[in-house]
This record gives sequence, structure tokens and C-alpha cells, in this order.
Amino acid sequence: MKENTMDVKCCMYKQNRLYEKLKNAVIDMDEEEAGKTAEEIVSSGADIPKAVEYGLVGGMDVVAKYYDEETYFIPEVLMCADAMYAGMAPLKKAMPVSAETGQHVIVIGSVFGDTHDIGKNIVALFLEGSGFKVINLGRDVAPEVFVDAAEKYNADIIVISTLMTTTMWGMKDVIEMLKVRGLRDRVKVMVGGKPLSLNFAKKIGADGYSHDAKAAVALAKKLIYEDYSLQK
Amino acid sequence: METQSEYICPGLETPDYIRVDPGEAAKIYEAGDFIAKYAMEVCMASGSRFIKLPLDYNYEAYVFGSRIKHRSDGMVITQYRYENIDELSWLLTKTYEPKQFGAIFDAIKIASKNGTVMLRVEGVFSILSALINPMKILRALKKKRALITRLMEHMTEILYQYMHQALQNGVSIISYADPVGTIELVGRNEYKKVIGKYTFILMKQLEPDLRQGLMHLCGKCSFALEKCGYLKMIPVPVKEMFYADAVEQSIQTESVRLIGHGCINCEELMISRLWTLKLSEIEGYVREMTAEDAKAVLSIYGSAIEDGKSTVVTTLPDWSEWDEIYYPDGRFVYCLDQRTVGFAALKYTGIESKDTEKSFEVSIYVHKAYRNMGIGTALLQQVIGYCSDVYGCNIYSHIFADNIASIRLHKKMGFVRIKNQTKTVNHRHVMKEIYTYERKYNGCEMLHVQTKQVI
Repeated sequence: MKENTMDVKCCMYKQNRLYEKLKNAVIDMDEEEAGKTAEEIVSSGADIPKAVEYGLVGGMDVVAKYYDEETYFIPEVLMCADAMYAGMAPLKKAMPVSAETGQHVIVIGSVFGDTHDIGKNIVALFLEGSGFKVINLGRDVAPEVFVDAAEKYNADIIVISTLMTTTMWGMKDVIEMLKVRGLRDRVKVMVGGKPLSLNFAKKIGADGYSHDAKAAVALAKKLIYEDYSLQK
Repeated sequence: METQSEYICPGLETPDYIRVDPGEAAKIYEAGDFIAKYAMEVCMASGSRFIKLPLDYNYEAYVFGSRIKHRSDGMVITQYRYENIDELSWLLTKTYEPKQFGAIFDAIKIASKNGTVMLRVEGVFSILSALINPMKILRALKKKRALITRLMEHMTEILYQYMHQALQNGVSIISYADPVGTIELVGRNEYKKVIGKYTFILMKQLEPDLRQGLMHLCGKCSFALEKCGYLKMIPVPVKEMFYADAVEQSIQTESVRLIGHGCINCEELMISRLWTLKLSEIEGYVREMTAEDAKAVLSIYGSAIEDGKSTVVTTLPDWSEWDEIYYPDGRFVYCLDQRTVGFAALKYTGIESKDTEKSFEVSIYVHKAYRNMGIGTALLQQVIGYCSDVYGCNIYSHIFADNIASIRLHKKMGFVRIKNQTKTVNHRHVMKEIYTYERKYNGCEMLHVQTKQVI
């Protein structure tokens, strides 16, 4: 009995070390190390969803903190994301089916008429890094494209971004179209971008507004796990 | 926090939607008379002080090959031109050709007869992000640094030529912004080493050309450059007036050539001071050429041969051939950021001089991306000092008649044209004149240029 307990403890210790190694590889922007460690995790029989949670998501949480503190900037965040994807690939192949189907889906894009997307892509990255499945529609996305994608991928949230006052009202069109298609009760809408505000989000009927990537991740979790909405 | 810009951008301005019939969309970038007419109409309708050209912010991207579509809401880049970052290498083969910007130059000539023309110029980083997904460029800053640096250098040089020609055509204000190349996106280190560096080089090159015009730098840009030590801001008090009026008045003020820390789109903002910019000195130095400089020297020389303006030579020699042609001593290079960006070398000349036994012909070459920044002056000054100290001799230079920059440099350094020694040569199937300039040894020692510490 005693030996079994020791074995289990030893095994957990090794697994935790691997998760930590994976997390550090993401933070250190080391693509090669992240890929190798992920392979090691798979071959060691360690818990894959835990590896994703502690290794990849945990790593990107630290990256998000560094980004917020302006220790890392976009080039560094992208390198970390590359490391995350390098680690994700082997883990995804070995992921139990139930774990994948349990993922919440977010559809994200820049509103129609807006071709800016750097900020939106960073938000998408951090959302993915925090465990969401993200469908990135790109920029200049027409309302029907948002809604079609939400329907196709069974999305929980649509995230719309803009950097321009001239296009921001296009976000309302997405919300109206969701209502017309009978999807509004199922799909939450959050908006973000420099010219926007909480008041604006309320006015157009959105469920939430966030001013940066870190806040977007927190809001997405709140919308899903706490059933939060500005409209309530 | 250190990198947070103190300048709060008032927000993006979208140019008025360009309302044309779909069949006329190409004229927005290609028909000078159409562009001028539309810009003048917009100026009148909006009450702006300035006739703003081009009509939208996509013009440079269009010239560099971006795919732009006309839509009811304006001209839109619907698809990136390049998928893969390595494909951008193609841009390195593109050289400045005035006819590619011909429509704007025509528009400037027309519009400048009707008002104050402002040329809106987008920075290299923003142009690149119109050609390829900007996330790929931001990633490439880390992963493909060498390529990004070469692209920045190359495209900065093309932008300089464009702006230089625009000023000659009648532009009064160059309004420069780089909305994707910001310190907030990439951090201070990357900004200083890449984006800020080439913006500084561009401004340094353009500064001597701002005789009849001035350059307005977007506030985000000027704040970031100041943070990185590339310039200083100097406030100039003005009577309470609109920002646009203060800028327009400055065109006539000789001492004000560079303005920043403000938004040129906020024309009706009341101000009591205008922020002028003083660019820092470039921090390079001259030293003696060594064998390690061979590759850089041949590269610079090769580039000069290609452009056809600086030398009659049409084929690049190898190092041993070059080494034999030039005198073994009196060779200097200019180093900037640990890179050799210019060189000077001497040859025995065929000109007989009554005054001195020896006389040399000097050759000065500066990498085209770093011209107009005082590097040629520093090199020539060094050579003059060397010839004076060591030999006490005359120096000569043979210059193509159309190489105005070189003629100006030599005249500035005391060279005088020998009128009866003009040759005409067939250079690449074009008859060209070559002038001979002489700098007599006058018995005074020229001080060698002071070396500066490189950061």
C-alpha cells in the first residue's frame, strides 16, 4: 500500500514537472521545447486536459499578465502563441473526445467596413489560450457571416471589434440578425474597440464590453459561467 | 508605464468616402486631374485649410501592389497581396520609379495652384501591414529580423525619394504617420531598433529638402521618437489660434521645418504653442577601412553602379580588382549601428598639378538608404584631412553633371569646377557629361572629423 502511494506521488510529481516545463516553454517563447515537452506528456500517459490547463492555458495566463504589464508586447505574445500552438498540436491529437466537445466556442471578427484587426487577433489569441475554441472570421465581416458562423459552429459567444466610429453601429446589425434567426437567446454578444464604451454596448443590446484583451477573457468567462449580461 | 504614449490620439479619421462610379474607381489612384479635382472639392466642402493628397490612406500600399476594391463604403483592401512573409522579398527588387507615383505628382502640380497642398504619407510598417497580415510582420520582427530590417531600409529609401519629389512638385506640408508601427504595439526596444530608427533616418534625409515645405509628424510618432532619443521637442509659443492656422503660418517660418506632438486632423483645435522637432545627431563614425569591410564596400559600390548616376563603371569588380584600382591608404568607411554604410577611397589622378607632386581623385559612395544625412560630408572631410596632413596635395573628383547631390557636396567642401575639363561619355547608351572638380591644397590642415561613440 505504502509503495503504491509512493508510486502515485512520484508519478504526480513527474507529471506536474512536465506541465511546469510546458508552461515555461510557452512563457519563454520556445516553440521547439513546447513541442518536445508536449510529446513527452503524451508518451508518459499524463493527463492531457490537465496538461492543456496547467501547461498551455497556465502559460498564456502568465503571458497575458506580462502583456498587461508591458513586459511583453505583441511580437513576444505572438512568439508565445507559436509555442502554445506547437505544444497544442500533439496534445490535441491525444485529447479525449469528451474533453474537446466540452469546449465553449467563440466566433470573433472585426465589424463590416473595418479592416483593422491587430487588437482583435490578440484577443482571439488570449481567448484560445484560456481554453476557448475560437473561430476567427478576420476583418470586415458582414453581419450574416457572423451569424452563419455562430450557427455552424454552435457558438456560445460572438465577439465583435472595431477601431472606427463610422463602423461601430454595424455591430447592432449582428445583434438584430441573431434575433431574426432565433439565435439571440443562445448566443451572447460582446464588443470591444477604442471608440466603444459600456453605454454603447448597452445601447446596441450587447451583453458585454471589454477594453482590452485581458478584460475580454475575463468577460467571456463571466458571460458563460455566470450567465452574465448587460441586458439583465 | 514607460512605453505608454503621453499623446492620446483623438481617434482615427476616415477620409470622406470617395464617391465615384465603380467604373471610375481606378482614377482614385491613377488619374492626376481627377485626384486633384476631387481633393479640392473635399477641401472646399469640409472647410479644411489644406488640399489633402492622396485621396485615401491606401495609396502607398496600392503603389506597392496591394489589391484594393471599390465599394459603396470606400476603397477597401479586401485581400492581402502576400500570404507568406518570405514573399515580401519581392519588394526588395522594386526600385523607386517616379512614374509609379505619377498621378500624385500631377495632382500636386494642379492642386498647388489652388491652395496649400498636404501630402499624407503612411510609414513603412503601415504599408507592409496593408500588403500582408500585420500579425505576420509583427511576428517576423522577432523571427525574421534580417528580412524586416532590409525591407524597412529599402522602402524607407523609396519613401524618401517620393517625398523629395513631392516637395519639388509643390507640396507645402508632408503629414507623416505610421499607425501600425507604434511603440505600444512593439515595445520600446523593438521600436527604437527598427521602426523608430528608420523613421528617424527618413526624417534626417528629408530635412535638408524642407526648404519650401515642412513635415508634420503624427503625435504618436513624435512622442515615441522622443522617448527613444531620436529627437527633442521644442515648444514655440503662438497667439491663441487654430492648430491648422499655426501649421500653415509655419510654412513661411524658416526656422520651423518639423512639427509634431499634435494631430493635423484636429485643424480647429485652439492652441497657444506649437511643438517643433529637433532631430538628434546621427551616431556613427568614420574609421579606416579594413579587409573585413570588403563585402559591405562592394555591396555599396554595386548599388551605385546599378543606379547609374555615381560612376562610369558598369560592372562590379571583385575585391582583388577593386583593391588594385584604389590607393592602399586613405581609405575610410562610415559606420552606423555596427554597419558600414559608406566609404571613401583615393586613386592617383592623371591630372598634372603645378602646385603639388601628387594628386588624388576621391570617390565617395554612400548606401542609398543613408544618403542626405551628412555621411558623405563626414567621409569627404576625412579624406581632405588625410590628403592635407599626409601629402599636402590637391584632390579631384569626376562627377556626372546630373549628380546634383554629389556636386552640392563637393562644392560645400571647397571643390571648384575646372571648366575646361568636361568630358562627354556614352554611359549605358546615353550621352552624359562628366565635370571635374578640384580642391586645391591651401597649406591649412583640415581637421579630421571627430569620431562619435556609437550607441
